[in-house]
This record gives sequence, C-alpha cells and structure tokens, in this order.
Amino acid sequence: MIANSFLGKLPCEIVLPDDTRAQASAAQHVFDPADERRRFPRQRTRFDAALRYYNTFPALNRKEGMYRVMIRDLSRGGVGFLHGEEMFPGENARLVFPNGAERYLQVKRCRRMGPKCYVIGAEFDEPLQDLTEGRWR
Amino acid sequence: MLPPVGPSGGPREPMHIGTVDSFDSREPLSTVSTLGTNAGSEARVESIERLGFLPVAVDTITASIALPFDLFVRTDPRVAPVLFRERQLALEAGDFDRFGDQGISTLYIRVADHVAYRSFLLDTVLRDEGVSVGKRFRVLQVANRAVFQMAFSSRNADQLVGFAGEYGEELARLVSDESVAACELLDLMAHDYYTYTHVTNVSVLVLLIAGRMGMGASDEIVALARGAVLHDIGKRHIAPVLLNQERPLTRRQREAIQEHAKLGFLELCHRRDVSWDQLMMVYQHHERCDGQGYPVGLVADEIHPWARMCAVADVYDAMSSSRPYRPAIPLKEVWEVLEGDRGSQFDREVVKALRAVVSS
Repeated sequence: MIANSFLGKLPCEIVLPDDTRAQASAAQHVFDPADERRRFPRQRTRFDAALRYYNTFPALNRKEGMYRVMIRDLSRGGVGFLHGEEMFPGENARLVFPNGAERYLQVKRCRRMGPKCYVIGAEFDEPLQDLTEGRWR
Repeated sequence: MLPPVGPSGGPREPMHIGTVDSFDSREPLSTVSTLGTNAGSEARVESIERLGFLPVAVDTITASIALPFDLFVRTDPRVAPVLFRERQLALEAGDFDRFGDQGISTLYIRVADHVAYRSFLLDTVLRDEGVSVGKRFRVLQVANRAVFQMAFSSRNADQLVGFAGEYGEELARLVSDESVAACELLDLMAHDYYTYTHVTNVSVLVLLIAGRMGMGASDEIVALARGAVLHDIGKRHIAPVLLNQERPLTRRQREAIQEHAKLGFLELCHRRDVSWDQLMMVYQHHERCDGQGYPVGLVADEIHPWARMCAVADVYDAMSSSRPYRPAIPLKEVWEVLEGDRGSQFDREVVKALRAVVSS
C-alpha cells in the first residue's frame, strides 16, 4: 500500500487546461468508450498513481524518479491516465497503484489536452485480475 | 518487329512467360505507379511484375556502354517481353532509331536486375557533371523507382531504411549543387501522387526549404533528406484501397489512415540508424501549429522543426498533385490555403521559405 501522503509528495506536472471543454474531456473519459476493438471493457475511474519511466527512448532524456499521474480509466488490459509530459508509442513505464500493486505498461497513444496535460493510453504487460471498484485505489 | 538479339547477334526465341496482360509497352516509366498507390496502374505493374519484369524508359539507357543486365522489348502487349540485348552488350545508336520508329519508349529488365540497373544509371549519368541537371534529376528518380518499389512493398523495414540512406544522400547532393536552380527542380517534379513521386517531391521541397532557412551543415542536410524519404513509411501498413478510396472516408476509415504516422514511428523507433529528428518527421508530419493535427495535437514549437518543414512540403505536394478522388488543385488555391492559414496551421517561417523557393 502506498500512503496517500507519499503519492501526494511525488511531482505532478499536470496542468489541467483552462478551457472548460478540454478540461471536461481530460477529466472524464479518455477515448471512445464505444470502441468495440478493445479486448477488455473500460471503467471510468479517478485516482492518482505513481509512474516511473522504464526502458524509454534515450533521446528523450527522461528524468529518474516517480511522477504522480491521474488515472482516468482502467480495464484489465490497460489504462488511460493524465500526465504532464508527452509520452511516445512504444515507450515503457512502471505504474504503481495506491494499493501497492504494480504493472509495467507500454504506451499505445498520446493526445495533448493542454500545454502540460496529455492523455496517455497504455497497455499492461500482464492483465489485471480484478477490476472491482476501489480495489486498485 | 524488332528481333531479339543474342550475344552473337543472331535471333533468339521469344520468351513467353506467364499470362498475357494489358500493360501498354509504350507507357513511360514516369507514369507507372509504385505499389500502394493508384489502383489501376498498380494492377498493371503487378501484372508485369508477375511476369518477372520491370519497365524502364528507353531514354535512361546510354548508347555504347555495356549493360550489366539483360534488356527486353515488348512490341505486343499480349505477349511477354522478349530478350533484346544480353548483358555485357551495349545498345547502339541504330537501336534507338528503331525504337523511335516503332514508338517504343519503354524497355524491360528482369526484376532481379533492378539493383544492377540502378547502379548503371547512377554510374553512367548521375556522376557525369556534363549531363544537364534536368536529366540527372530525372535519372535519379527513374533509377530509384524500382528499388523504392521493392523496398516499400517489403515487410522488412531494413530495405527501406537502407534505401532512404542512399537516396536521401543523392537528393541532398543534387539539391545542394550550387549550379542547380530550385525552379529547375520544381519544374521537373511529377505530380501524380504515386507514393514514390510524393516521397521524392517532399524530400526535394524539404531540402529547398531547409536551404532557404539557412540550414547549411551537409551532415544535417543529408539526415534531413533521409528523414523526408522515410516520412510516409507507415503507409505501408494501410490498405492501398483505403488510401485511394474515391468516396468520402468514414470516421473509422479516416482514423485508420491517420494511424500511419504512429505505425511508422513504431516501426523505426528502436533502430540505431534512424535519429530522433528523423523519427519526429515520421511521427509529427501531420501535426498542425494550431493543435488540430494528429496523432498528438501538439502546437507550434512543440512540433519538431524538421516535422514542421515536412508538414508544409507534404501539404504543398499533396494539394498540387492529382489524387484518385480529385484532380490537382491549382497552385493559386494551394497558396491560399498555406498562406491563409499561415501561423495557425502551418509554421509561418517555413511557408515563407517555401514561397521564396517557389518564386525564385
């Protein structure tokens, strides 16, 4: 379990956009929920988690350490979250949930919502077993 | 009918290979498509390729120089090409006269000989500074078309990256030649929007823009050209029928096409022989300064400067070329779009540089 105080101390570079519509879009759902190409259905959710870059592209010179990101949707196979930096397809990271569980992820897509607000869609290396509401918080 | 001639000068049996197709032997190579573009021409090229041949323009062959490949002729579109001159022999002036008399502008080589043909062209024409810029540029285009076609249709990116390295360098050398005026190159550009033509045009435009904007280091120019040659590599993963669809695209179809930027990035991102700058040309060339582009929706300076150059060159060439679903857009209208949106969709300085290049 990660204490909320620990998560709260992690750097969070997200600046939610001023524009109300963009903010709503960023804060609510990330991608088209009707997208039937997905293997696992997504649940809309809202909690913070810790992210650490892992095996990323050398040209990006990513800083070491953990960042606080905002989880916005979750499925057994992947996650949508807000981050303050652009991430690139194929980039890897480790996500630590508030309950202490960890998953490696690979970025599939990234969309800019504001100057320091990117919606990242990523796939887990190993599916989550239980999506019960609150289980991952 | 031209008789096929063997090394001894005697007649040879015509080689009938495979089935008959409708390929017009008089079609100049410059109008033959590369894979994944115009569906009609693609079918014709596939057809002749199925027979194991590639068309080459007569005027790319230099007289009296031994050819490192067998040369075939096809006077009847209902039959396969027949051997005209064996490798290590040369065409003579009289042969060209006979081609002219019979209206033959296209000859054929075996697909397996396309690399030898390319080397032949580069050695005989491109390195010869006595040859006009127009001919050198045309030969450069022709020489690389078949190699590009093979590389683009290959599942393995190695071939295309290798090709981009060589072709980018050749284009950079030609464009950097101080004796070459930009307007000459612009006049020589084809506008058929075949993938190869588009890649060539965008690369030349990007180089001209970069030169105008003061990018001078030759290493950087060559790297830029290589990136431009690769910028649409992701389109290899999009069904040609979708890229050439004449009716309006559905939202899902449009999204599928837009995936090409990401797919190209993913294909190249772990390679050591492709730089991050070049990757950004592949990934970001559809980003727009106002944030309305894709895949990310970056704005202005967030977009890599090489990608901003590529974006303007890409739109300029796409609009001024004919597409399966519309004719070429008049240049006046192209400029209205580019300059009307200057500073919002497109980088103001890049558009200004392109305007200066085109007006020079």
